[in-house]
Amino acid sequence: MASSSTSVVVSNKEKENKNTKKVTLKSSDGESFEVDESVAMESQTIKHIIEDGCANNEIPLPNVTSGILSRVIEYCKKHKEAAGESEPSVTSYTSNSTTNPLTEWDTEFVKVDQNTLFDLILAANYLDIKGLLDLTCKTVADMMKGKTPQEIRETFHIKNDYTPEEEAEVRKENQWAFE
Amino acid sequence: MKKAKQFQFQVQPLINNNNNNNNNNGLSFSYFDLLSEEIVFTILDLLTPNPLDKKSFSLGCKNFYFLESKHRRILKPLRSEYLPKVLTRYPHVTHMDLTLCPRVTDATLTNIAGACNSNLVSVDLSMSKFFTGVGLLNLAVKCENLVELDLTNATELKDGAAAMVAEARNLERLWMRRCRMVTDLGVGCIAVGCRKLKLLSLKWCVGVGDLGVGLIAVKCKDIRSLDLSYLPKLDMSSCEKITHIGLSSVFSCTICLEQVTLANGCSVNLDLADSLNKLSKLQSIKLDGCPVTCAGLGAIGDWCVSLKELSLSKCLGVTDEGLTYLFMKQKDLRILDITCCDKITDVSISHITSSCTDLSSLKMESCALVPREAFILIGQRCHSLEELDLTDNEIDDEGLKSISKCSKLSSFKLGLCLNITDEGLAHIGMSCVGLKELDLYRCTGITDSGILAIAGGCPGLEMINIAYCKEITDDSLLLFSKCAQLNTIECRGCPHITSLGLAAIAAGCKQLTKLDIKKCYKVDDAGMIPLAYFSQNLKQINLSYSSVTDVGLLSLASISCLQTLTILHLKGLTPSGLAAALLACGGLTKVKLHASFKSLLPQAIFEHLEARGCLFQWREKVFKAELDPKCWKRQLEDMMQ
Repeated sequence: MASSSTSVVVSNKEKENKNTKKVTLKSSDGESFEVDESVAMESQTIKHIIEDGCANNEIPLPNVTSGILSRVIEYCKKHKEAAGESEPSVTSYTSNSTTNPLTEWDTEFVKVDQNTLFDLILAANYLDIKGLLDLTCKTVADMMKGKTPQEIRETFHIKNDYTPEEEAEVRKENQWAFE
Repeated sequence: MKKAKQFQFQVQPLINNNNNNNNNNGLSFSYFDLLSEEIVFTILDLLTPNPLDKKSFSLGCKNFYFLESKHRRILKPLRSEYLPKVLTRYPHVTHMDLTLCPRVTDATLTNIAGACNSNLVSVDLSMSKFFTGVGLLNLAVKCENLVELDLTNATELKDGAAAMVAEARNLERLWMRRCRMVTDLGVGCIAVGCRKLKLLSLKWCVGVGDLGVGLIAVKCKDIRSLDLSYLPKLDMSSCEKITHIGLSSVFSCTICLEQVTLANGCSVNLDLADSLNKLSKLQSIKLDGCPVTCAGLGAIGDWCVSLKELSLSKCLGVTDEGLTYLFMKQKDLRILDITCCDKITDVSISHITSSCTDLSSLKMESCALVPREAFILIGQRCHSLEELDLTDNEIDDEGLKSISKCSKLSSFKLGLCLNITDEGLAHIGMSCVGLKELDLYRCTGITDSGILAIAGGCPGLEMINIAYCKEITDDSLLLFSKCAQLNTIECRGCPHITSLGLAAIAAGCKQLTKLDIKKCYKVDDAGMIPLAYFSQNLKQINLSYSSVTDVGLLSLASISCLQTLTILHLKGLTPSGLAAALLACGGLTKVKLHASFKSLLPQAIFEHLEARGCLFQWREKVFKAELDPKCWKRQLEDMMQ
């Protein structure tokens, strides 16, 4: 571990001068990824690590594999580009963003198998990247829309632990008790 | 500053060996097990808007049931007999919407108060009548975080009950529309008890006058929005009720006031308008139905610092002169309502569109003197428009072509616009992708090809009115079935529509909440069965003059939230069929039917239904001229056998 004497604390004023400053992220399986600091700071977790001065130019992420980390970096790069050099992008998935050019890209981005999707959720949560968390959670939500309970079970490999009587009771309550 | 989250689960999936699940692929592990509660809640937040989706989720497994129970904050009970169980199931409810519950009694309120306690933040009682001050007191005392309460339509509520409401010390928003038995005394109690009140609506509270309103002004220093519409006015000479002098003194106290509604109140002359100058934060004024003078409008222009919303709907005295001056001064207007200002011409429209380019909502129904060319200006200049009501105007296809430039358009009303055709509508369909509401009431120039443009171009459509667009066929309904967000469809008087079209709608539009197929003569029971199966969100339906019979009507009973039923002149309806359907539809709150049935069913049935919370509206309307009088009479005789 190199003992660097240069401080890595970044303030808002200095951000403009640090456009090309890079930071290295290390995945759980030992792979290193060098990225622009501004891209890495799409992750609030990484942002705090850097701001706290704990970076030492290499940030270990023991909970994220290289496969997932490379995808996360891809997301951050794309969204950072789209937002320009200003604030970290805040994309809203609640509105009908039919005019948002990123929407198509995002839609393709989440066309992955369930294993990867859930890993992305966990990574987005751990790294605190709101846009990615919302995107991946919305994808899961969309996978449930319009489905019957059995279809939801099949999609997500859920074991049905209701007895037939219990299930009938809940079904009745769901239908008649409230909207 | 947030710390980096502690990550608790391994990313590698754990395969459980001892499993006796019924999945075919042998995997008993679900990725859902990896997610924290917080993440699942985020997913549930995004599982909107169909309430059935969360219900399906809760049936997935017991863990999902538990998670959904913890997640739910907004509850809309349907039947009060299920309420105790539901309250146990959902311990974290913050918003209780009782508008779908036909019978809310003091016992219901006490139950809710006891179960929800300090979690409860908002209660909507606006369709309920059977409770008294006793229930309200329980609510106010046990739910100390209650911030929002809607008592609209509580017409039996008296001052005593209002005094109970005053015990809800943290109340910020209170609606008491139509509480006509409440007087200055009740309002005074509220003023003294609910010091944090920010919004108060006393619309139609005809027992309230200067004294009550004055007390609110003095005691509730945080008041931001006040609706005093329809409070009776007398001559200026009598100071008994609301007068402009009373208002003036109100305004001098309520300096935070941002929104004032004085519909059908005093005449808006110079004196009243001058008193507005004390309200430096005023952003919204609604003067619907108030007679205005030029001087009054001028004073509003002068005194209001930066008005965002102005409503002069149905105000007598609005002229080009008054509006021109007003708009020269008020350039920040976002919302403007000039419905029925039938003296204004293209001069006003020209001024409005050049001054207020940020306009997001414009309502100008029945501005009879505005020529068709003026609408082109709207499209050219006001590109921020989201809501546009041009009902009953001269607009033509050229105007529509121009307005299609308003790409943010979300709600568009073109009812009774007889000069528009499919061509104009095609422009809208191509450019206004965000369109959610479209009203084409009696636009007889519209056919299936216009609908093709809209249904294809506006997939987010939520509400459509094609009533009396006589050329429309099932093809249009098939197109609409692709608009998955559609919740309101009004297609009355479309004689070519059949059960086939309706079946497509039922299958495709799962959010369907309101359906009006009056005078769609070809729709029969075959259309009702798909509705009964698919449309579990249907609350309101009008089947008058259709070919639906007892069987079709009865099948609708499987729709648990069905509340409003209008069934006039159904030739296939018999007294016993009607009785069966009414009894089976447990959530009915309003039924409109022909007065002849009153004597054809046992009185006990109506009494039972009314006790269950159902209101009957009887109509004497004679069957319309399509059928000759002899035929109708024979049908009536048939029904009486």
